[in-house]
Amino acid sequence: MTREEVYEQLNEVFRDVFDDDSITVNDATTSDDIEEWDSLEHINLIAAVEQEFGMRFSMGQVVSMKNVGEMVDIILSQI
Amino acid sequence: MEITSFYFFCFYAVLLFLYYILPKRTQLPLLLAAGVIFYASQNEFRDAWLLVFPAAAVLCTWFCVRKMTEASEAAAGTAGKAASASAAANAEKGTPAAAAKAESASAAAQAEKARKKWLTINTAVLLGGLVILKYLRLIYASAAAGEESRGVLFSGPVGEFLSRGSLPLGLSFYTFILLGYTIDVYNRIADPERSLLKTAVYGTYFPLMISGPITRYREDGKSLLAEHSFSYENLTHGLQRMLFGVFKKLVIAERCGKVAAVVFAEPQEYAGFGVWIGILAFTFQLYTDFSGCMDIVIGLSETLGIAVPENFRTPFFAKDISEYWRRWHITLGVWMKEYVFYPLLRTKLFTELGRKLRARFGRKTGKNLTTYAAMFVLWLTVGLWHGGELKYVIGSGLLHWFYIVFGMVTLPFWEKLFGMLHIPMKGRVADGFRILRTFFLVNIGNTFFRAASVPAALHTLREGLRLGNALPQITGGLRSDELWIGLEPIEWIVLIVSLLILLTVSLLQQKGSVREMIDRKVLPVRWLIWFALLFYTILLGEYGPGYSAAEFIYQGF
Repeated sequence: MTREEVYEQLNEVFRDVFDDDSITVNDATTSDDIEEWDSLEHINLIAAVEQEFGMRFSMGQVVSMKNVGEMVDIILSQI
Repeated sequence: MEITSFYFFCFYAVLLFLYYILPKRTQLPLLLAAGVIFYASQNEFRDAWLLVFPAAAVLCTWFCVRKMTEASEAAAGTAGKAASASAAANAEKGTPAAAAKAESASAAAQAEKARKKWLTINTAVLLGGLVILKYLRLIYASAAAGEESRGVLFSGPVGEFLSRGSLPLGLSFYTFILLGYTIDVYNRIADPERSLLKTAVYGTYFPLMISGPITRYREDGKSLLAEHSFSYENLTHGLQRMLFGVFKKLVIAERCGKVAAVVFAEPQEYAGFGVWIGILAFTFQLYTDFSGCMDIVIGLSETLGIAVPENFRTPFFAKDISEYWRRWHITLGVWMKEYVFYPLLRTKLFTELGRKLRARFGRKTGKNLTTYAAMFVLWLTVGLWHGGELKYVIGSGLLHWFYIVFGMVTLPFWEKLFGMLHIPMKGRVADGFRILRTFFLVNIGNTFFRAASVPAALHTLREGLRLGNALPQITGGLRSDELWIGLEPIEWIVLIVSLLILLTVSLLQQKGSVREMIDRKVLPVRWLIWFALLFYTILLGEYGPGYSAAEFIYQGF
């Protein structure tokens, strides 16, 4: 799967979790850019991404990833 | 040695002087030595032996982290050998490369097992210490009510120790700081610290042992353990911050404390309006006492060149309870999120629960119900952390859980209501309403926190609803030396003026650092502001010869 393909799927997950069809994420997107993305939704987002890509983040990755770019790196390293 | 006492400021001045005058390599040993003196000085040096608890916690953490690192390194060594064996196999054709690979995989699995074992041991030791020391005392206190039921457990030296009620200073704080560090090393997001000295200084840095903040090694360890050069800017900014903390604590918190004390002692005497003044006074007491302490701790660290995370961000401007907890005792919230809430939601139990609830109630409701369940455990933990008594479990824990869940469940109702009134949900009016609503709810929680027990808190709130004596007598015949809800009229004026100063600073903080704003003024104005605050605090602080400010409320936790 290419990075672009990951992003395509990932956008769908974000739109679904945050209930907002206008969301488009990129490498630099952080929780500050999406109003609803608080600590509670973070863990729901993680679960949704894991389900979509059939992979699992480690606890360290869950708390330490800084932006969507890092999330995509982890996804690509595991699928 | 209280942090606002004369002795503490002398102790701090000596430390500051030695810190910069001695070679930099002595800074860490000096901090450790200062910590030992500070710990030992509690209760006038009577409980110096309690030092063995933080010392044991540090030693155990250092040892377990070391063992975890050794396990990883051994596995990495085997993997390295396997890689070279595989390369050699490619060259020679026929050497069993697969065997080398299998050996490497089994070494990695073994290392993971060992790492988990050491993490478990350290967690058990740290949490065991916390639970035993903190909660045994509670059991003792309830057993002490019935003398004969104490039994063998509480007789002899154990009983004597428990009856004094002393706990190692900062027990909850060093436990959480060291535990978080160990978990981060296990999760491979923090580098293990090899030096025992550095582990000790990081785990028990003495200013944090009073009331936090709770540091995270991967974020704050570097600054704490680095060597620091003297900086005039750090010194002045740090001292300014400390002064503001002392102002909050001695001028505001002490006065508010007097008001709260009389109201909570006899709420029926102040039925109606007076009770609410008492509750408000306690909320401001708690805030100025705790955040004032943080100002002193953060400012003091700044003068030493050490950056400590913020623990408050004008919490009473929060628009809902979740936001309130992102602004109040911030580092506890972050700790709970990273080490309790997230891991809990990722356990098999909760994953399975989530799956079942989603299947039964639909995707959205199922997801919410799972979150509510995990949040219940989280808030129960927060309540227990504040002290095992039911009043803390409710006032600082489960009541807040209820607020958050209730807020989430009733959100559509509020949206509809605001829609009917043609008030935009994200406008000023709605924001103002939400801020007031949150502040009110926080005050109700604080009533439980302050009252002697849950029934006493309920009694206080009931008295607040009695309208018979709506306003305590203030007009007609109130002499200037007469107390009105615990304070003389002139003291009330000082308190109200001081609260207005605090409000002004809090509003300015929304726009940036107030110290930097003052820095930009011309010199005479700058000095005038700081000297005015200094003299205001010295003159009006509840402070005098032989006077030691009441212990910081949070020190008990």
